[in-house]
Amino acid sequence: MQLERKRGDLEKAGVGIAAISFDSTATLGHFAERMNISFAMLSDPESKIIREFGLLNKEVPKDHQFYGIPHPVEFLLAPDRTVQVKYHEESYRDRFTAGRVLVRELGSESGAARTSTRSAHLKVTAWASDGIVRGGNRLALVLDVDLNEKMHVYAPSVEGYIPIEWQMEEAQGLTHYDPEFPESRTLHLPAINETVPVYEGSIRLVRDIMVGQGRALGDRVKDGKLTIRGSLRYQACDDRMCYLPTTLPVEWTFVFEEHDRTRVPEELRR
Amino acid sequence: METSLRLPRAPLVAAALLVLMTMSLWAAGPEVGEKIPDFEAVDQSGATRDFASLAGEKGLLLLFFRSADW
Repeated sequence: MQLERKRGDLEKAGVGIAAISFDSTATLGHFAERMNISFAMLSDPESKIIREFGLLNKEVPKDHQFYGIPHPVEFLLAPDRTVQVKYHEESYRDRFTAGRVLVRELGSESGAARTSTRSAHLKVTAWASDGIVRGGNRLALVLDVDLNEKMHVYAPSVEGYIPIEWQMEEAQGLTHYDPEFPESRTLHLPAINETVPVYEGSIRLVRDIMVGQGRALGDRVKDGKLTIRGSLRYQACDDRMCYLPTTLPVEWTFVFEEHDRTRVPEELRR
Repeated sequence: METSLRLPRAPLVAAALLVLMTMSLWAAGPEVGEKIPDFEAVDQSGATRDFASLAGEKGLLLLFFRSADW
């Protein structure tokens, strides 16, 4: 389970973990033992807490055996119980991964699927918040760009120049979200008396990706591995000249894990 | 006269229901900036836990999930 794998990193970041469901403690105990889970799995068999939070799924009929389940929601809470971030998943299979929470909300550097590429102007290191993914996982992809000395590239807001651009390969079963760019700095070009938004030094670009279910991914999953490709396009300039626009390919390879369909023993089922 | 007044309500009610349903899907539970209610529940080992015993110094990641069984 991806949450258990990130438990150490979350604890290091000072964040505890708990998961609530309407399962009995016996069901949770069985599951936790089988999956080696040591974070708190809380039992809310009468859906009392689920109701107090206003998260009861009312679309399930009252006489249905699954009546009492919550909407799938994750909260990142401050020590005073204030909601800092709220994730509302559309389906029970969808999850913002704990790795994504670590990278995007807690500034964690811990990730996986790391590869580096170098051009004449910069080095780009691609990594992701998670190395093992499942269908429905929404995780973070990261590009760390280290520009050579004196080199700059143009920020997305630039006019009249080619801005840095992070493109992702469109593919069935993958949903790409917009990348987040850091704040640019303003460069004054005295020769032509222009000011332009640029990046220099080291910058980090982050975006989310949602991985679809195995069926939707088709033959993209090979030997249990899923590779996602994209590219970084930019035009670099230094204090003397501008270089030809460049497109650098980037990629991430993940271990693709199937959903666990094992149920608890019959006597523990609702 | 009465019927002509009542008739246009049907689409209105349908529209209101649709809005409510959409809201129930997207506005479930405490929002960002609000405080969650304190709670107490038994964990998989049989220990009673509350927010304070679960949170770290920076807070808590709390998930509501469907079931550990199916």
